[in-house]
Amino acid sequence: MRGLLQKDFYMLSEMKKMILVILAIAFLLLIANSGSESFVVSYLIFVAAFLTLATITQDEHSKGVQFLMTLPVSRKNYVQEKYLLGIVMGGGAWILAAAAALAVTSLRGKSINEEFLAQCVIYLPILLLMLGLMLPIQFRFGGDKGRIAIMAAVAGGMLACFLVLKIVDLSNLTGAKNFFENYYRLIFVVATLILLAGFWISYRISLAIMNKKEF
Amino acid sequence: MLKLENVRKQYPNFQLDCSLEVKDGCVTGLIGQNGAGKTTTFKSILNLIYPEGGRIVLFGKDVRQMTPQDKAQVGVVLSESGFYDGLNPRQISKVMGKMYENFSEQEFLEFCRRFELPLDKKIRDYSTGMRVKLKVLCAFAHHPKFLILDEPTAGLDVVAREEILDMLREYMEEGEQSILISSHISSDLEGFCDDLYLIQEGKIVLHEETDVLLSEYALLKVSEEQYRDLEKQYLLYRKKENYGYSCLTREKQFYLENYPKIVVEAGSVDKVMMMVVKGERI
Repeated sequence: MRGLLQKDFYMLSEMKKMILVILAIAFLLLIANSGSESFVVSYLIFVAAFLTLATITQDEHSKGVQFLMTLPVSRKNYVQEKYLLGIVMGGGAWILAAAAALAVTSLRGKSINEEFLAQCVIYLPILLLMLGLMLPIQFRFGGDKGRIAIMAAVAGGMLACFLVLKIVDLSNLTGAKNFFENYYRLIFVVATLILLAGFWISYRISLAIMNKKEF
Repeated sequence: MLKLENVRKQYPNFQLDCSLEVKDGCVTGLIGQNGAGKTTTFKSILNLIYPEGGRIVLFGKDVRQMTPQDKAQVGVVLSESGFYDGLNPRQISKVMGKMYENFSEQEFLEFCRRFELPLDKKIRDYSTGMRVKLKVLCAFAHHPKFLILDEPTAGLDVVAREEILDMLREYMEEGEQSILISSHISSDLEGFCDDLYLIQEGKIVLHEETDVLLSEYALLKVSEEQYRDLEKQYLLYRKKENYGYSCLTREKQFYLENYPKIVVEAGSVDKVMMMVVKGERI
């Protein structure tokens, strides 16, 4: 597992120029636009998740996964390592973005916005959701097909969320709205627990896909 | 060391049905045309594909039960894959150092210097020969008990091929290691393997010790008339030629002594393979 992580960090270091450009853009956004903190955090988490997927694509390049499976690495180790990498990368991006946003806010002499902190906390389960959805798709379809499948899944997910919100809005369910407003902490905890369970199921699906694969 | 018993793998246009054995301390060669089943056999041994039948036992254990610790005792070269080509030997040594207990980064880098492999150059900037050398080096740098080498000398010139074989000879001097190697360059295997398996259309059609193959096999070149009078009991394969027939035998001495007028060419891997592939069994 440590060897695989080391390899992936070397792979990612090949993309360091691109990563530095992305970080510079994020930092400029933070400085230029005082309302962009939340966007920057979500943006960097997205980038981190996609970089994790990029390591799988690189592994698949020139049948690299086939070779990795001849090393002292099991299929389970490989899947575990990608989930761990996703969490490390996404978590790292989250900490970096949140810290930068807080630093820029305090430099502006403003107090820390409670709403921003709440949004930051919400982004952690969203990271799990993204990884949990994208990794099995990438393991199943790989490379370019995987990217298309992920884009389709993200678009589908966004459409579903939009429709649910629209229906709630249109149906004027004041009872439901009140429930959400009164119990948002409980809803957040329950949703996070459901996401954690979903993340575990996602890992099991990825493992099953990997165990079935022939190279 | 390794035993394959009736290993079967079915593809739409190809079926592997293979049995072979690699003994402790031996170098065993697997030869055959492109598409004969060499790589499929290797992939089955490495659990990269799942055969539908048969049994593969390595170190006394079913390969499907192999743990990463067991896999650390095996070194592998696959013709079509390797480490990500954006890495350099220095980075590979760090990665391998974290994967293998029996791996010394210092020793690996020393080997690289000895084989003139630049330590800070990415694999993608290496020549074909350098890439292969690095692959072979990665396969045995952790001192495995068993090496599986699929076409390690493919695409190399004579000098580079000899260097690779020297590296492998050095590895064999370490002790009771074994090697299973495939190549379509028969001369590489003649001077290196203890025994050879010939695979054709997914089946092992010949197994022989290399010494026996080179000393006792022969190609007889005979006219049609000579062929009619020839003792056929010791002939294995025959092939129609312009001048009559060429025939493969395992009893070179018999024909040398009893048929002084016919042309008897000493056996070689190429000749045997050509007869098995192109000829008809008698």
